[in-house]
This record gives sequence, C-alpha cells and structure tokens, in this order.
Amino acid sequence: MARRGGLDSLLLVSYSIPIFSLTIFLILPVFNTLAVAFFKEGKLTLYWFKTLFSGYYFSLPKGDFYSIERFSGGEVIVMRGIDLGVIPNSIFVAISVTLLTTFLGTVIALINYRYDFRGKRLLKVLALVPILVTPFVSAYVIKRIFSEHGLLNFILYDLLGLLPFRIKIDGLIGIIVAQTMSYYPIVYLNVHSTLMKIDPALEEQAENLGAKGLQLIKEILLPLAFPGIAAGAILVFIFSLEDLAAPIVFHSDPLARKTISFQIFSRFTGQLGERSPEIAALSIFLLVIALLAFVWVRRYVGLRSYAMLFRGTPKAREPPTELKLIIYSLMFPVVLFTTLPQVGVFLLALSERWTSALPEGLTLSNLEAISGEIGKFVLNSVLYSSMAVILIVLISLHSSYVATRVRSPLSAIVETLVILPIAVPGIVVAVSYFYFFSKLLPGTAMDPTDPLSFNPMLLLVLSYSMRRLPFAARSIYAGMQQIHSSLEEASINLGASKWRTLLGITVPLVSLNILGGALLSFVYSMSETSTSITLGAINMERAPITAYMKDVMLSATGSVHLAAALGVLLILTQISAILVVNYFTKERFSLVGVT
Amino acid sequence: MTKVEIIDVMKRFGNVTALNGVSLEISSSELFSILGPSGCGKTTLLRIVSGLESPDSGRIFFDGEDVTDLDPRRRGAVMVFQNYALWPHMTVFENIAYGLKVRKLPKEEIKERVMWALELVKLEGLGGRYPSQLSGGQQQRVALARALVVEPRILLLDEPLSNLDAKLRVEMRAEIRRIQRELGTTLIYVTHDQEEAMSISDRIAVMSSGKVEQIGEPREIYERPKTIFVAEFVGKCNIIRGRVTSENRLILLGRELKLNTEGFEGEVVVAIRPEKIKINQDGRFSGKVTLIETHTFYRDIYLDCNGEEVLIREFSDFKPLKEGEMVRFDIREEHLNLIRPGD
Repeated sequence: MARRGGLDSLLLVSYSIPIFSLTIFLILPVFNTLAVAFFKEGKLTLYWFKTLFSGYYFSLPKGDFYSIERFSGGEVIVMRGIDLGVIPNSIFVAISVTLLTTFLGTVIALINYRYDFRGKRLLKVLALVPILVTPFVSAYVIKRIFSEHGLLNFILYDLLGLLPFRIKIDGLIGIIVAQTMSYYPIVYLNVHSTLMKIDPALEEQAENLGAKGLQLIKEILLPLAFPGIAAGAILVFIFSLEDLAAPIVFHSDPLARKTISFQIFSRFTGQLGERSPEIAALSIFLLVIALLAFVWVRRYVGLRSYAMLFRGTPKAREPPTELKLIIYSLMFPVVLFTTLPQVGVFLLALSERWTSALPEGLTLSNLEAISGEIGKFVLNSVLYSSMAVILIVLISLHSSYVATRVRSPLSAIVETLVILPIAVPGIVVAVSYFYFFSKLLPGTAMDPTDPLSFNPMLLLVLSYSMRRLPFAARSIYAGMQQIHSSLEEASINLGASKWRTLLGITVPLVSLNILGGALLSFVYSMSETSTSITLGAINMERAPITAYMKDVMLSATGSVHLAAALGVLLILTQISAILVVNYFTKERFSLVGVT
Repeated sequence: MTKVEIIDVMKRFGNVTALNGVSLEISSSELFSILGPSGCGKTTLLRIVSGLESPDSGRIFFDGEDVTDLDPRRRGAVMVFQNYALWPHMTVFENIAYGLKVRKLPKEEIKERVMWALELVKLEGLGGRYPSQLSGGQQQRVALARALVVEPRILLLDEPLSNLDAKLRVEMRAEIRRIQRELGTTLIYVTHDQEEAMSISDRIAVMSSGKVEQIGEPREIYERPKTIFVAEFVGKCNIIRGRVTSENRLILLGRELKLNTEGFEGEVVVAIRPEKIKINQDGRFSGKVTLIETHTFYRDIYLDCNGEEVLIREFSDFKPLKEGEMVRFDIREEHLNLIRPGD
C-alpha cells in the first residue's frame, strides 16, 4: 500500500520546472556575462570596464539644452538635451520618463476614479491606445510629428501662428517624449487597478470627517494608491532603460546614440563572430541599475501594500468647474495627442509617401506585402512566439501552484524567480545568451558567432519565454489564489492523485487565467524587440518581425510603410487579445509588456 | 461500519497547539459528534482522521489497522467540506461520479451508483445541473452524495449545516440522520452548534483548547457536565460555589444538603441546569428577582441569592412575578453536579 511521506512527484516537478528553467536560461547566462566582463586571459580584471570611465561615458555637461538652427524653410528651435555621457544620459532619460509618466498616469487614473464627466469612457479608451505596441514605427511617427515640417509645426506655426518659431525635438528629448507618450498608460493602468481595490468606505469616512478635494487626494487616495504608483513607475523606469526603439529611431542625432542600450546594441551589431567583452561590461552596468531600482521599489512597496477585504463601487461625482476646464482643455488634448503614433502607424501603412505634414497616396500594397515578401518574418514570429507560450504556461502553472499551495521558503524563491525577468533588460538577455550559448554549444546551429549556420529559433523562443513569463505567471497566480484549497482537498480525499487533481480540478478552474496569460504573452512576444533585433537579426532568413522593422529604420533601402503594415498587424493582434481577455475574465490586466 | 480509534494525537501549527493529546474511540456505525467553539481543534482532528493533515504524534486506527501513515487516498475516510467544495466546472452528475471515475469503475456501474446516490439525497433529475444553479440545501445534498457514492468506511462532516438557514438546518439534520441510519456508515460530525450535536448524535465529544473535555451521550453531556466548560458551553447552566464540609455534606447557598460527595472536599463548583430549579413556596432557598426575560416558550428568572446569581427557567405555570420580589425555590439533590473548581 502506498504510504505517505514518500517523494511527491508533483511537488518535485512543480519546483523543478521554474527553478531549473529560470536558472539555466536566465541566471546562468547572466552570471556568464559577469564572468566575461571581469576576466581577461583567465585573470580577474577591470580591464573591460576601462572604456566605461572615459569621457564618452561620464562627462561634465556638454552642449545646450536647445539650439537655434537654420534649415531650408527658415529657423527652428531644436531641443536635444544636455550630454552628460552615456551612462548619466540613460539615467537622466529614465528618470525623466518615469516622473512624467507617473504624473500623467496618476492624474488620469485619479480623475477617472473620482469624477464623472461627459466623455469619460472615451478618455479611458484613448488613454489605453498608446499601450498598443508597434516597435520603431510609433517612435518614428513621433519623430516626424515633431520635425521641422511636422504636424505640430504645421498646426501651431503655419496654420494657427501660435508659435513664434518652429520647434523640433531630437536626441535625448526626442527619446523622452517618445517614451513618455508610449509608457504613461502603464502607470495609469497600475494606479487604476489599485484604486479600484480600495474600499470606498475609507474615502467616505475621510469625507465624513471633513476632508475634501486635494487634501483628501493627498492624504487618503495617494497613500492608498502608492503600491500601484510605485509598481507602474518601476516598470516604466526599466522599460525606458532597456528601450532600443526610440534611440534607434532618433539615432541620426549623435546624442540619441549616447545611451547605454543603444551603445550595447550598436557595438553588438557592429561586430561579427566573437564580440568584445566590453559589451558584457556595459551590459552588467545596465543590469545593475535596473536591478537596484527593482529591488529598492519591491522592498519599499512590500512594506506598504495594504490588504483590502471589502470592496464596493466607488461613487464618482461631478467635477468642480475649474477641474472640468482642465479636463476638457488640457487632459483630452494631451491624451488625444498620445494616440497619434498609433493613428500614424495606420496612415503610414495605407500610404505611399510621407513628405509633408501628413502621409499621402492611399494604397493597400503595403498590407498586401504581408502575405508576400515580408510574410516570412510574420511566420517566423508566430512560430517563435507560439513555442514560447507553451513554455511560459508550463512554467507559470507550476510556479503558481507551489507559490499558492505550499508555504515554504522554496516557494518564496520560486515566486521571486518568475518575476525576476522584469528586472533584466532585454538587451542584457540578448548579450548574455550570445556569450552563454556560443560557449555552451559552439559550432552548432545555436552558436550565434557563426552567422551562416546560426538558427535563432531556440534562443528567441527561450528569451521570449523568460522575458514574457512574469505577465502570464501573474495572471495564473491570481487565478490559483482565488481557488479555495478545499476544492483540491475534496478531490484528494475522494482518492484522486495530486496530478489528477491538478489537471482535472485546478487547471480547468484557472483556464481563463491561463488563456489570458497565454494570449498576452503571445502578443508581447510578437512585438519583442531587444533580443529579436540582435540575436534574431544575425540570420535575416529566420528573423522575426521586429528585426525587419529595425532594418527599415537603420538602412536606406527598406520602406517605413512596409514596417507600418507590420505595425498594423501587431496592433490588430494586440487588440484582439485584449478584447478576448477582457471578455472572458472581465478584468483589465494591470501589467503591460512593451519593447 | 468501521471502528475508529484516535490515540493521544498531538498537532501544532507553528506556536499554536491545535490538538493536545486527544484520544477517542468511535464505535462502528456510530454517529459521533465533536462539539466545541471555533479554534478548539475539532476541524484539525477531522482533517487528521481524513488524512489531509498528519499528526505530530499519536496514532489513528480504523478497525484495528494503523492508518496514521496511510496515503489519505486509500483510507476510505471521506470528508464533506464546510463550503461543500463542489467543483463549479462539473455538473452534479460529474461531481458525484468523480470518486468512482478515480476508482476506475466501469461506466455503467458509475451511472447506476450516481443515480442511486442522487435518489438517496432526493435530487433525482438534477444530475445535469451545475452547482451554481442549485440552492444551498441542494448543494449540501450533492456534497453528501459525492461522499456517500464511494461507500466510505467513515464519513466526515465538517460543520455541514453552517451555511444553511435555520429552517433548512433542522431539515438537513434529520436527512443526515436518516441516511446514516439507512447505510450504517460510521459518521464523525464536527459542529460548534450544541443543539445540532444534541439532536443528531449517538455520542458527543466536547472539545476545548485542543483537549477533549467530556465524552458521552447527549443527555449525559447535558445533565451531567463534568467540567465548567461543558456546563457552560452546552446550554445555559447555573455555576454556583459550594463547599463540602464532611462526607456527603454540601453547603450551597447557605443551606446544608445531603448528597454523595465522593471524591470532593472543600471548595467545589456546583452546576445546575436552570430548568431543574423550581419555584416553590416551601422551598429551602430564597432570592430576590433581579430580571425577568420572557421568551417564546419559556421565561428566565434571574435571582440574587446573597450575591450568587441563580437562573430559573420555567416552561409552564407562569405565576405573576415582579422584579425586586423575594421568591422561594428548591433544587433536588440529584440534579446537582459537583465539579472541582479547576475543572
């Protein structure tokens, strides 16, 4: 007869899958990069970090925040930002974007939570548009909108004459604007979902005691929403640090090239075969900044997350007149403006050329090309993303199972492991995989040092699974948390094995969460940038969508309009996934993957 | 039809001692209740019998076989959970059939037995519904059918009626009793509701703070409480200080009474059920009425007898009484329960 206390095969597997996969496919490669960066000819050294302390990487402020330049049509004020060297530049950009998005996202979330006004639903939908990710193309549209002949100057200077000068953004300011416009919904969604969990009685009690308006927001709502604000802010900070799309789009300005992620990227793609360990050293720098921010926020927020049991519907009220004025004259235009990149992607995809303020020449040929010349990139991406989803669901299911069902220090480790990829910038994953797999599997199709025989499939599938894992893991974890343990105990008690219970009871009960997590990780794998445009671009025959889109941005030969057609495809898959998830789970996801 | 022996079971969760040396013997085909307030360890004990939890020490025997380390799946001790734990993604039929499928019974037999179980709990024709389409009482019946259909050696019910309204509770209580009698299954019933335990059980174990206070038949538990806890937890009870002065002599409320005081000396506590005290003009005791509470079927009269509070419960012959009035009453010696002050 079977005795208790023997080896529990389900637990063994459930612990092993997340621990081994995260260790082998994330932690070991990163540690290998560490070794590459700190060793030269078998000796521990800081040799590879030498260049990082040159004037190019850290310098005294250089250049002017803005300058007046002449061009064919007259004078234009160009805003670029001040050069502090590669590393401070990246930190400056990330902090600026974090502050701007946190402000914008929090204000929109608070106003939507507290007030009822005409067009509120529209505002909510508009504020979600920027989360539709179209790598490169949306940043390109932003660059064009803010160029000397762009839409902004056309309306404000040519048409309305509101501006005394034409203005243009470029360099670091271009990156900041592009990232802010894309990332603020991340903060908005996180704050919104935290606010919705607040017991309205807490606010009502404060009102009942006489607090109102700004004081109530400052003393009650903001502190309660803080975990959401912090979670959104840290995501934006890391997304900004690792973003490659905006620096690549603005790369014609030398200042835009002076960011960490772009430096890693350009050195990586600028070399063939073995790569210089300097790239590893730079990656370690980026990783440390991201990790420090991540750990700091998690510790801080961990102490300050409030458990709320009672929920109700918050009562929204009519905003005061002055606030109404702000909502309609400022918030609506700003939010509407942030949807322009996505609108622009559609216009670009449907047009032949873009020489003046707006794209021209209606055509369907770009979209038709998806089934023709650029179709292979779509198929590659679909294949890699689908395979990644299988891995992601497998890992998430087991990690969520132990995290919600077994109270042990090991479960806490698994819980941390599966969200760890958030803190590892994508370009660091790319670089780490490069060194790791060329060492582990030299001479095989998985060895990226040989561009002729290299097949990026396995490496991309693995990197997609690691990078998108946190989103699915969160979704499945939340589902499992809501299943009362007695539902599983009843099955065990009736004689079913733990495996049978997991597959017959637990999995069907979290099937919607699995579906949601799988769909989101699929669409965000499709739009993955960092590893796709580095490892994925080594052999263009097998490259994913985003590698092609990057080629268009960096070379003179490709067509931005074709890239936009791919952007439309990505947007449509994302909208479908979001609609399906919202329909089935009646819940809005609060964590969003970008880049 | 299985005899259960629980021997000196201990269980701790972190710093909390859930069970502190519990021993029980439950006869074959008995309906045995474990009664106690929340947190007394009764659910933990049930989970240990089922195998969902294992004891830190102590043994469990089913019909003399040591099952302490036996895989819970092979024990045949099936639990009905407080929240029923019906699987929302399965129909009533599928819920009930689950345990049989796990046992790899042929399809035809599964169908036959599920039909039998549905009939047993009077839910014929509802097999195709989902749990969310059933009332609370019906869900309870499905949970019961799901447990019974696998012909458990022991049926374990964890507060099975706590989610039902009062009227349904009384109805289901009788149902459970009927089914248990019909099948002759050994049944362990955990509840915090003393009335429920009284009405349904063959025997009751009263638990408090991880220990068994008293085991006995319902009447015995009610009329002969052995500890202050049992006296107060099960029904209303007068707890009055008394003193044993010499063999078979007890001083109570200023009067000397003659009764068997074997095993007691000095200060004692006397437990007397309030309905056993009768107002009687020739009674030996007297007290001043401080409060009269009128209930539907009875009235409670609180008396002050030189600082001791005495409660009298009357079910009939209500004589006019006023607060502040002095009344005389009497107690028959056989209704007095002596308890050592520490017990």
